[in-house]
This record gives sequence, structure tokens and C-alpha cells, in this order.
Amino acid sequence: MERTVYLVDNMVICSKAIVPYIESDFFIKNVWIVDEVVYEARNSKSINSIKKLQHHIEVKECERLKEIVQDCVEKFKILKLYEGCADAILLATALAINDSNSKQSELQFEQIKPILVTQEKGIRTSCDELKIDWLSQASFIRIAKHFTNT
Amino acid sequence: MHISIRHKQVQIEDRTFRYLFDNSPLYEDRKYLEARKKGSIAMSELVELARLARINYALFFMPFDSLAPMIEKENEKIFQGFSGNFTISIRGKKVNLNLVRMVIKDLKIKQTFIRKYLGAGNNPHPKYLVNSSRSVAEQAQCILDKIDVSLKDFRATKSKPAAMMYLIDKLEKQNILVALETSTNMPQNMNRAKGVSGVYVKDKRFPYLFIANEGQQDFESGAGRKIFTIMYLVVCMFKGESKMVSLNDIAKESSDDEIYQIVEEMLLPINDLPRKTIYNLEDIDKLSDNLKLTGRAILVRLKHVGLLTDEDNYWVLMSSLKTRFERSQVAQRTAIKEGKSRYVPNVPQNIVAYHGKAFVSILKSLHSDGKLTQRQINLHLAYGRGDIRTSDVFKKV
Repeated sequence: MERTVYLVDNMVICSKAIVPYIESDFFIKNVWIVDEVVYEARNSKSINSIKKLQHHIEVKECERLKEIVQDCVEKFKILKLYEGCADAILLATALAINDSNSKQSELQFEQIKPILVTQEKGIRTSCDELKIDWLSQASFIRIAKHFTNT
Repeated sequence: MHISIRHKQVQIEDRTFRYLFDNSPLYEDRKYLEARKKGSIAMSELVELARLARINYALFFMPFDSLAPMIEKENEKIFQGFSGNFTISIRGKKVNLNLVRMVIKDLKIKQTFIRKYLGAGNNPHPKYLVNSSRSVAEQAQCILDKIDVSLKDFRATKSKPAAMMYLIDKLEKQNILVALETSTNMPQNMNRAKGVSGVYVKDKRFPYLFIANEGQQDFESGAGRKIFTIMYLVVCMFKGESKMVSLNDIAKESSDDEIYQIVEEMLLPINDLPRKTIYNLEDIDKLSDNLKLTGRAILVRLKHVGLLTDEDNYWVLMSSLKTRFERSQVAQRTAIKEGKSRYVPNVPQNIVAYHGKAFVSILKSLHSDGKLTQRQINLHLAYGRGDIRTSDVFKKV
């Protein structure tokens, strides 16, 4: 059994287009907002709804962060010294979920498929390199609309 | 070093942890020092400290050998324009830039922040007189005109601190920002930076002048010295010389230093000085009060322009001024040591003095527009060390 989890970045979650869906069951069940994105979205009008979707960082994500942080700075150029690190955390979270899937495959537990939702070109390129699925905001809203209406 | 997350631990390099915090405003923070001693820190605490220290916390997960060169490269970018590799030579005396590194970095961050919110064009003053063929007097008058300073108004102020604030107001109106070192709410402790009087931190739009407190508690103390330093740095800016200065060194051997000559010409034109055969300490004190500069600067100027030709007279007066200054310094240090100092820091006033009215005004307007939270203001103004009453700070601008 496979369940999709959408890891949504700051720009998308703070977008006005998201507002109609942010408190829907679809969001509650399928959307994870990592700590750093919650922090970056702290001035958003939807912050209270965003906090309900918060996913706290775990050890396995930190371990993955250790592996990719250098590439995030030097290769993908999505991590600046004096700016936020939400993009790197999003990638590490997706990689950690994929790791859990491969460990659980033989036991037939529920598989979680992470999909990163972003408008940022740099993050999309990083996702491609790290074999992480990604979606644009428009495609994500189409899915949200579909599940919210049904 | 371990980071603990819900009873589990993840290991990071100790060197990375120390390097990032030791090069941040929180290098003496109690929570940081405790974590270093314990060899572990909770993830939530690390994130909180990192945000206060303006460190991207993902960097704690980087190997030290990759991180250090990257930060050094970034520092080179930040400190570019300063002569030498983090070491400034002031007429033979070497002052390590590391001693004021965090202040300069902080001011650089402020410049970037202001640029983001204010759409001002390039500041016309930096390098305006680079390689100028004008005479010293012409350059001095040009600078006074450009920064709209009237010597008459400057001297009509009620005290030296008021004269200093007059200059700062005039400079800030030209988008030249002035940061006065204070005894509270600084990004770093300046105790080790002895000998540094000031630093000009260049920027095309918002140049910053940092004025050190040189051991004083109150930023208004030693205003006469600071006035000279401010003007020296202003001339550095007009001449396109990004540098750190030490007033003592300049005063000793300044007759061939064009920047020093211009400052003297600006603040002490020869026609404003009395001609006498012998000067006494009373004359110098009176001039110091009227002209809003130190007795020492006036004495040196009298010698430079040939009004004070008697070497014995000069050295006796210089020695008296030096002794008086040293005594006041010793008395102040003793009072602090014995807990008898009457100085009570006015934190909101100190905050405005260091950040500059112009910068605080920008924060005030962003705060009232709801674009900056109280916490973000605290981060900008007090580096997260205790909560500050924003309204008290904003009342000062």
C-alpha cells in the first residue's frame, strides 16, 4: 500500500491559491510542512493552519542532511550562508522517507511516497539529481482541488 | 558533539560547532558555552541559538574541512576593500581585523538589509575626492559643503556630545551611517580591540562609520576624540580609503598625512585659532570647549600651522594633557573595578547609538507596517540577548 506525502515549500504554502484547501482533510492527511518552512512562514496569515501540518525534524533526516549539505551549498547552490535552510531540510526529509521505504519493503508496511512541491528551479534540479519526485504549485493545486471536491 | 532529538542522538563535528559559534555574536553566550562543555545540545536549542546568531543551522551538519574554507571565502568577500589580509597597517602598527571582525560583519549585514528596503541610488560621497588635485583647504571646504556641516552651528552646540550628535545627524541625512560603540547590546565585546579608534566600512549606498569607545563606559564620553575620528573616517570615505584608524598613531606623526591635514583644516581652520607667544593649559581648555575638540588635537594643530613654535611650551602642555587623560582613565577603571561607577547604561539609547538613528527608523517603519515581528526586531537590535522594549527604542528616533 502506498501513500503520497507532499512536502510543500514556503513559497507554495504561503500562496493565496493554497488558502481554500489548507484546512481540508486532504492537507491534514497528506501534507507535511517541515519545521524550517513553518518558521519561514511565521508572518503568513495562514500560520495557524500551517502549524497543524508541521513535521518535526528527526534523527534520520539529520543524518541525510549531513550527506547532502555540502552539495546543497556548492553544487545545487540552494543553501546560502546567511539565509534559511528550509530547502535543504525538505530534500533531507524526502531522502529519509525513501530510506525508510527501502528498509520496510520486505515487511509490506505502508510505503510513503514523498513528493516535493516547489516553484523553485534550483530545488527542482536538486530533486532530479537526488531522484526525488517534485510537483509544480499548479499541478499540486489541481490534485488538492480534485480530492477536496470528491 | 551530539545533537539530541527526542531521546535519540546525531553526531556532528565538534570543530564545526565551535567554529560557527565562535565566529558569531553568541561566542560568549552562556547556553553555547554550557553545550560545548557538555558535548551535547538539544536540536530545538541549537536551532534557537543558531537563529539568534544568524547562522544557517544546516551548516552544523557540514564537515569542518569543507565548511572552514567556505566561510573564509565568504569573509574575504565581506572584508574586501580593507587593505591586507584581515590585518590593517596603521603607520607601521599592525591591528588584526579579527578584533573587530564581528562588528564589521554586523555592519555589512545591516548595509545589505537597508539596501533591500530602501531604493536609494549610489551615495555620491565615497571616492568623491579620490586622486583630487585640489588643495587641502579646498578639499576640506568641499567635504563640509557636501555633508552640509556649518562650523558655526557645530560649535554653537551646548557640549561636545551634542556637537558629535550634530555631526552624526548631518551624516545620516546623507545616508552615511554612524555606529557608536556602547557598553551594551553589541555584536561583540571590544575589550581586545585596544588601539582601534574607528573603522570605515565601505558601501556604494550606505557607508557605515564605526566609532570605538576606547575604554569608556558611556558612548558620549570622549566626544572630542570621537568627533575627530568621525571626521577622519569621513575624509577616508571621500578619498576612497577603506580603513581602520587609531587616533593616537595618527596624532603622533600626522603632518604628512593628507587625510589628517584635511580633517584639521575642516575643524580647525587657522583663522579660528589665536596667535600667542606662549599658550597655557587654560587657553587650550577654553579652545577645546569652544571648538568642540580635544585639547590634544588643538595643541597638535597649533604646532602644525606654526602658531605654537616653542617646543618646550608644546611638550609641557602635551604632557599635562596626557597625564590628565591617563588619570581620568585610571579613575574610571578603578571606579568600575570597585563598583563605584555611577554610570548606569541606558539600553534603548545605547541601541540607537550603535545602530544609528537611520537604521532604527527603518526598523520602526517596517515594524509598524507589520513586516517585522518583535522577535525579528530583537534579533536585529539586541542579538537576542534578553528582550528589549521596542517602544522605548523607537521613542529615541
